[in-house]
Amino acid sequence: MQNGLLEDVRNFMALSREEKRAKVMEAIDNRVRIITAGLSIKELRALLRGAPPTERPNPRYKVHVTSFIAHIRPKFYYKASTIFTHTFRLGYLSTFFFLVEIITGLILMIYYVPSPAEAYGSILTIESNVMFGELMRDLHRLGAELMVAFVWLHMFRTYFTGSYKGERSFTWMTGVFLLLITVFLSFSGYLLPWDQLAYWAVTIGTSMADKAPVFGPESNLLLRGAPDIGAGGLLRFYLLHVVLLPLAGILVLSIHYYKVAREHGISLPAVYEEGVLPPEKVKEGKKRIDLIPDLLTHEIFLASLVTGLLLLYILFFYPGAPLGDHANPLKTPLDTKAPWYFLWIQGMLKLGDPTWMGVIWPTIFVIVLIAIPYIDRNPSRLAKNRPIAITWGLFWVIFLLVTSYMGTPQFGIETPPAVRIVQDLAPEEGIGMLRSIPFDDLVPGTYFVNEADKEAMPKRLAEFFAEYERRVNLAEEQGKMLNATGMLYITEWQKDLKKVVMRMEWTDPETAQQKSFEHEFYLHRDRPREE
Amino acid sequence: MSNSRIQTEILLGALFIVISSIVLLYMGFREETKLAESAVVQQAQAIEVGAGLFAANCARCHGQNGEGLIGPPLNDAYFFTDRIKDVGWGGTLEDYIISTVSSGRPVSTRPDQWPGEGIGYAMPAWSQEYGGPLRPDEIRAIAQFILNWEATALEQESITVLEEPVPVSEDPTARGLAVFNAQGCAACHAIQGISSGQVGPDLTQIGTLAATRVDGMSAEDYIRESILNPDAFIAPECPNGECPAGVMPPNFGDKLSPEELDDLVAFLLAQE
Repeated sequence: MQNGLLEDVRNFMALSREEKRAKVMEAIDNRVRIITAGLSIKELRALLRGAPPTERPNPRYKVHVTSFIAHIRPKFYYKASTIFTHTFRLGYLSTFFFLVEIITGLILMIYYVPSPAEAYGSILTIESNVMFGELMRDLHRLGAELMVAFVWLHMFRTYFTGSYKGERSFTWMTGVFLLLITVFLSFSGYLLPWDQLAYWAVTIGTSMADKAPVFGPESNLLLRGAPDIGAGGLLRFYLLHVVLLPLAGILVLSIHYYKVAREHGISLPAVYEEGVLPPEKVKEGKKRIDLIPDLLTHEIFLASLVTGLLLLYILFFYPGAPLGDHANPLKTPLDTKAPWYFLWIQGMLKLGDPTWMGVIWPTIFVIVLIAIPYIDRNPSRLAKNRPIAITWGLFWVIFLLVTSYMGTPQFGIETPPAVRIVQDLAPEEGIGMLRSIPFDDLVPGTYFVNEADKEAMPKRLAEFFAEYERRVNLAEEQGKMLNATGMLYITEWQKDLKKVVMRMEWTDPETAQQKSFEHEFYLHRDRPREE
Repeated sequence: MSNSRIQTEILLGALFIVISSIVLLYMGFREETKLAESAVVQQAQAIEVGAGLFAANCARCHGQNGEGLIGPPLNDAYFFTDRIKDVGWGGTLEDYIISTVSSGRPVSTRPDQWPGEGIGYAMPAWSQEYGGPLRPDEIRAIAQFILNWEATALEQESITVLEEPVPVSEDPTARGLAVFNAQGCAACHAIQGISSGQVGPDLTQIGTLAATRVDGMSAEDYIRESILNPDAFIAPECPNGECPAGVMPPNFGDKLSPEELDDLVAFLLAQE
């Protein structure tokens, strides 16, 4: 052996310069081929130039056979299926954000503690004591909302292009499961900060489970681990969020993607398949676009584009992932609302019996959604051949929008006028007008509505006071509060801390009784003043 | 896909990777400052939360501004300079506050000056760990609030607390309630639904009981005398057994205006 090696080296040294160079290049080229599963250096350069393959058979397909990760990717897409306005890349974006969530989630997991005593504090630590902690948290929150949005939009797109029909009906069903997994991932993550927003939104959500027929109370207990949401509930939601649902998501996503990319292919726009377009156009649309290099370049480009836009948005526009006050089981905040993708359920709950509106109807909706490919027997995917399906789809979009609006706190919930005024000017969760007044503009004193001299006040205090006056006078005009008086009292309380009291007194129009309502606030110089 | 499309995408992709890197670098440079700012903001919010909790739970014994009523003052120089030395506490003042608030004070350390509630304990245990109503993070917030008195205690800063205007109510009973709260009566006297002081006699039904206390004295006169001259008659029963003499401040006659006194009496007469 040793002799053989020595001999090879001697033979190599005996070659001419050009021959030596050729041998070295060949060795490097072989290495590159091994690493890239069959692509030579020349081929790589052709790829980056966008030139056709340099060898036969096409070496760009080999990796699909030899690589695990690449085996689930298609060798090519048909050109027509890559038209931007056909898919809007929504499926890709949904998967991309799933990955963003997994990566940022793994990092956040290092610092988060899933116990009621420590959860909130661990979030505070992430924001004040972990390098890039706030960025990770913002990415995770924003990524979650975008993932839910893109998954919904992807479902609507698939519906309106009729891509659930025929053999794709099973793929559609896996898609509905992915939608449910995504929504529950978001919901379970919502509880984890253990602030008022989280705690009460999840209390409402699990109370809906309680109202389910037959197994309601048991399912509520299963989710919460106890009659009230506490340590057991938080741990169960945490495990759902980081173990069960992500694993289920990855499994179902793999099935879903395999069927889309390897078995049936992304659907072509219906005009290519149903004899609408002339044959040359159809032939053009059926041209193959290879994964390597075209699709892969496009995907990497999209990834860098979206990452860049995401980071720019977070840097310049995003107010930050919200964190309200620490969860308080004894105090229900005034304007509790569900996360935006559940507002439609909250709206429905205002319509009637919670068992029907909160459990039975939504379940029926999901079952109908899964069954759409079996209900819709129309073989055509063209929009003009599917008036019923299109109308039904549009009805659903409008229904969701209307019920979401109804789910907002201001709709259909009567709050006593004085309470409403204080809540609007200084909301329990969030900042609002009063708390955003600069500390030094809070000049100590007692100010009475319709009497105090606004000209003498600093600008921001005057603006606030004008709004306070406007609201009190409006309530008077609307007959909700008679002989209404309002007062604002500001005093220094400690170093860099001021106490503010808003008090209103009025005669109740119905009982003719004297009533009063007041609320005290403590405002520190260094508190956040912008959302 | 065409040649130029790939090249455009590679170019744009590289551009956005560069943009992302710049954004991350910029954030990286700012990160230390941002973390420090977050910590300041969190401290500010803790003080605000602590202020609200103090007013709701601690003010009735320690005073609205920490000046001390039946519990010792928490806003004076002594508290911030010598207190932990005198008690022999080996840790920080913050830990002292958290420990005392959490586990309470079974026996007052200065019973002549600060008797506390005196119902078996001087100060209740506040932590949920010991059966109280407050979470550990709430107690830490209260500690931050109390510690914020250091600047004014050591006279590094001065602040002025304005008197809060009493609601101008038509109803003397409502005005009287405001006086009852403002003057600290709630610290020692219990009225069901209003206060839970345990030092002096329960006043939930004083409106009817007042007439029975001293022969020949009307309910109104009895109440008036009890406020202006507390030691003239010692009530028969207090939550802790015998009612202590010389504890109720004798100077309410000076502190209250005639209107306030009338309102307070009207309020107490209405407690039946």
